[in-house]
Amino acid sequence: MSKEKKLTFEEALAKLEETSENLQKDDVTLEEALKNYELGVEYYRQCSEILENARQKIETYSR
Amino acid sequence: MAAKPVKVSQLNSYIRRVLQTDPLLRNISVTGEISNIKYHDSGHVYFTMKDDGGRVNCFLPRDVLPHIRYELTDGMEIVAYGYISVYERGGYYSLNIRDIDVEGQGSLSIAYEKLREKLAGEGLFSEEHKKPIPGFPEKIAVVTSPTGAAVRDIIKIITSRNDFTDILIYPVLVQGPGAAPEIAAALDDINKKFPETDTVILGRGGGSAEELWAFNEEIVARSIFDSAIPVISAVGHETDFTIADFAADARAETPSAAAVMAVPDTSELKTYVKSVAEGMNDILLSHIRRGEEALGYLDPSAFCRTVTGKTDIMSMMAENLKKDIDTLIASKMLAMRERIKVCRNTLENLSPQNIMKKGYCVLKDENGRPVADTCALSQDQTVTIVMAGGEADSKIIEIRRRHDE
Repeated sequence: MSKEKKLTFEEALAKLEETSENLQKDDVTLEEALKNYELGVEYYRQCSEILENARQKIETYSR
Repeated sequence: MAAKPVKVSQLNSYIRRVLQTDPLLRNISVTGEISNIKYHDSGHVYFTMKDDGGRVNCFLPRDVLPHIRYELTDGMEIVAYGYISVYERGGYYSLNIRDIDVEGQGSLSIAYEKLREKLAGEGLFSEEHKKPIPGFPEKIAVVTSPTGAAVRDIIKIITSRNDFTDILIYPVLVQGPGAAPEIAAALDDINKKFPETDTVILGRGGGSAEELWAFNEEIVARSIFDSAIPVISAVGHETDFTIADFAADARAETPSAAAVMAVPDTSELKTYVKSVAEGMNDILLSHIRRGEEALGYLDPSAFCRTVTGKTDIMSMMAENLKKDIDTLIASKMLAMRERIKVCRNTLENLSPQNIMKKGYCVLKDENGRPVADTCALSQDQTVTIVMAGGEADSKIIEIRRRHDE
C-alpha cells in the first residue's frame, strides 16, 4: 500500500479526507467501509507522524 | 589689447582642459528638474536639467543606467552626481552622470508610477505568473534585515503557530543604495543554493518612502519575478504598496501577516486531523450498528419458514405437473388404439376371404397358380375354383375371348 512511498503531509491529509468522505457515502457496503477505515487509519498515522516528529530549525545564513 | 587669435578648435581644446581639470567640476552634484529626456537606441540617455534660471545638458551612459535606482521621466526633481565633460567639436559641455537621487514625494511618485506602468506592460504582475503559496511548507526563507523588527516579528509568529517549518534567515540591507542589488542577489542565491525552499518572505518593517525605496527598484521586481520559489512580499505597513508587492506571488500587509500566510498553525492541524480520524470512528461504528440491525431482521426461524413454504409450493407444482402429463399420455394412448382398430378393420375388409363372401372367386390351374386371363386357359383343361366355403374342380368347356382387351 502507501507505506512504500512516503507521502507529504498535504498528500496524506488529502487522502485522509478522501477516505473519510468515502466512508460517509450512503451506499457504501460494510466491507468497503472497513477497507476505507483501515486506509484512513493509515493516513491518520502518517499525518500524525509528520506533525509529531516536527524538528523545527532556525538558522541565519552567512556568506 | 587682445591676445593673438587662436583657432576655434584650439579654443575648444583649451576650454576642455580648463573645465576638466577643475577639481570642483570633476565631482559635483547638481539639483534640477529633468526635461526633454531621450532614451537613445544606443542605450545612452540624454536629457536636460533645468531650474528657473538655466539649463544644462546631461549625459547618462548606458553602463551607468542599470545602477540608477529610479525610472527617470520629465518633470522629476533630481540630484545628479557626476562631472563636467566638454565636447570639443561641438563646443559645448555637458554633465556626465555617475548617479542620480530623487528627492521629494512628488518625484518619487512619478518614478514609481513610471516603473509600475513599464513592468505591468511587460506582464510582470500578471495573475497567470502567480505561483500558489504552499500550504504546508517544510522550509521557508526570510530575506530581510537581521536586526530589524520585521525579522523578530516573523520568527515570533512562525514559532508560536508552527513547530515544523524550518526557517532560514537570509540577511540583507533593506535601505540605501546598496539594498536593492543585495535583495536581488539574495533571491537568486536562495533559488540556486536552497531550491528546496518552499516559500520566500521578502520584507522589512515600516519606514519613509525613501527608506522603502529599494522595494520599488526594477532589479528587485525582476528577481522576484524570476524566482522559481513563490515569494511573499511584506513591506512596511498596510498602506505601503511597493513594486515588489505587485511582482510577488502574494502580498502581505505586514511582515507579521506574511508569517501567518506562510505557515499553517500546526496545533490547529493536529486538532483537525484528530477530528477527521474520530469522525471516521463514529461513522464506522454507525455502519456496524446498521449492519447489526439488518442482521436482527434476519430471524433464522422466520427464514426457515419462508424456505419450507417455498419448497412446499414447488413440490405441489411438480405433482400437478406430473398429473397433467399422465392424463395427456393416457389420452394419447387411447387415440392411438382407436387408430389401430380402424386400420385393422380396413385391412380385414380387404382380405380375399371377405371379398369371396361377396361372391367373387379365384381360378387356379393344375399347379395351384391363380389364372388371371383367358389366355392362360385351354379347352378341356381342369381347373380349381376357390370360393367362400371351399373349392370345386371343374373343366373348361368353351373359351370366349373378348377381343377389345
